Amino acid sequence: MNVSFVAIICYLLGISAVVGLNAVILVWLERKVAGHMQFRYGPMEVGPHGLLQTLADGIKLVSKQLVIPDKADKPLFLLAPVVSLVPIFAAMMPLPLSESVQAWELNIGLLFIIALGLLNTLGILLAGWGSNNKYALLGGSRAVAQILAYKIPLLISVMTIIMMSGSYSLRDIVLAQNHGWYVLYQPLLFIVYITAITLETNRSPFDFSEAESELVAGFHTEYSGMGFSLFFLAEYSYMFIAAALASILFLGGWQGPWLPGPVWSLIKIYGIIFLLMWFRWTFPRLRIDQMLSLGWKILLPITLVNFLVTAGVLAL
Amino acid sequence: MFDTVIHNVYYLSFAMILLLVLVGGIIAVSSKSLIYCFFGLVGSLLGVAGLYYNLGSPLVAVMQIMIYIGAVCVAIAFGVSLTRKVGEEGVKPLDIKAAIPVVLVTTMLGATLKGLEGRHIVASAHKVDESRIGWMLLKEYLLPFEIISILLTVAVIGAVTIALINRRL
Repeated sequence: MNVSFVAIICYLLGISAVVGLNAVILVWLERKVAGHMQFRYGPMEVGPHGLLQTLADGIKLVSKQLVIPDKADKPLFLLAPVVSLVPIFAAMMPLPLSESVQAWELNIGLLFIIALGLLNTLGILLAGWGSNNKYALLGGSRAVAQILAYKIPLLISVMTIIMMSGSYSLRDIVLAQNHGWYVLYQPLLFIVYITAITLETNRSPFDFSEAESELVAGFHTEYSGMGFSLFFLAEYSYMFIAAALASILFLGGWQGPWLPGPVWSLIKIYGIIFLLMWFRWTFPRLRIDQMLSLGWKILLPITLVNFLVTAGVLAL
Repeated sequence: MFDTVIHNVYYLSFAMILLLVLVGGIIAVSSKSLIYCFFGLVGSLLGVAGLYYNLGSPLVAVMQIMIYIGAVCVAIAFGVSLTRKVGEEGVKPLDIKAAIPVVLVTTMLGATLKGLEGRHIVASAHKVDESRIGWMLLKEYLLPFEIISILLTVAVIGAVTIALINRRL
C-alpha cells in the first residue's frame, strides 16, 4: 500500500510536470514555427534562441491582475478555466509513453480519454456565457456546433482501430502494431483522424471559437492573467493528448528502432504537433458552414464506408 | 498510516461526488437562469459518473460521460444557444406543483430503503469484465439490443420528418 501511495504522488507530480513543461515548450515552438514559416526568427532575446521567453511570459502572466468584467457572471467566469484544465490531469493518466511509463493501465483507456476530452467544450461554453460579451458568446456557441461535427467521425475512426486491435487498452493497441503500424493499413483514416484532432484542439484552419480576425479572441476575449493562461495550458495539453493518441493509434506508439521507447513516443507526438502548427500557417480559416459540411458530408461518409470495408476484410 | 489516508481520501471523494450530484441537481431544478440549470445538470451527471466509478464500473462511468454529457448535454447546449435572451427571462420559479415530484421521489426512496432492510449488502461491488458485456450484448441479448437500435432509428427518422414539415410551412 505504501508503494502505491508513493506511486500516486509521483504520477501526480509527473503529470503536472508534463502539463507545465509541454505548454512551455509548445508556446515557444508555436512562435518559432510561425516565425520561420514567415521568414523571420521568432523570439530570440531571452535565453538561447528565445528558449526562456515562455518562462518570462509565464511570470508576467502570473503577476498580472485577473480582471473580472463588471456585468460578467462571476461564478461561471471563474469556473470556466478550471473546468477546461482539470479533466486533463485525469486524461493523461492512461497515456503510455513506453511499455513501463504509464500512470494507470486501464482496459478502457481510449474511451476514458475521449470522454474526458469532451469536457473542454463545456469549459469554452462556460467562458462564453460567463463573460457577458458578444464575441465570447459567439465563440462558445461555435464550439458546441463544432463538437457535433467532428466527434462522430473521430469516434468512428477510433472504432475502426479498436476493431483491428481488438482492445480499448492503449497499451494493447500499441502492442497489436508489432507487425506494422496502422497508418500503413489505414492511410485515409489517418488523414481523417488528423483533420478531426485539428478540429478538436481548436487549431487553425478550424479555430472558430477563437477566430481572432472575426471574434476578437472568441471565448477568452475577457480573460486576463492566469485565467487566460489556464485556457492556454488546457489547449496545449489537449494538443499533447490528441497527438499522443494519434501516435498510439496509427504510428505504433513507443515502437521504433535503436532509441528507447519514451524518446520514440515524444518524437512522434511532437512530430504530429509540428504538423498541426504547419497547418496553421498553410491553410486559411474555413467558414463555419464549410466546416460543418466538411464534418457531416465528407468525413462522416468516409469513416462509415471505411468502417464497413474494414469490418468486411476482418471478417473474411 | 497510509492505508487510513487512502481510505479517508476514498470516503472524502465519495462525499464530494455525492455533494456534486445533489448540489448540481438542486441547481438544475431551482435556478432561474437557463444556463445555470444546464451546468447544474452537467455537474449532477458528472457526479453520477463518479458514483458508477466508485461502484466499480469504469465502463459505465465513461459511457455516462460520453452519452449524457457528450451527446445529451451538448444537444441541450445547442438548443439553449439557439434560444434568445437566455438568463434574462429565465424559467418559471418553483410553485406548489414542484412538491409532487419531491413527495414521489421521497416515497420511492423510503420504500427502497425499507425493502433493503435486513438484506445482505455487499461492501464492494462485483467486478464485471468489460469484454463480457460486449459478448452478452451481441449474443444473449442481441434481440433487445437490436430492438433498441430500431427504436433509435425510428426516433431519428421522426425528428428529421418533423424538421422537414416545419421547413415546408
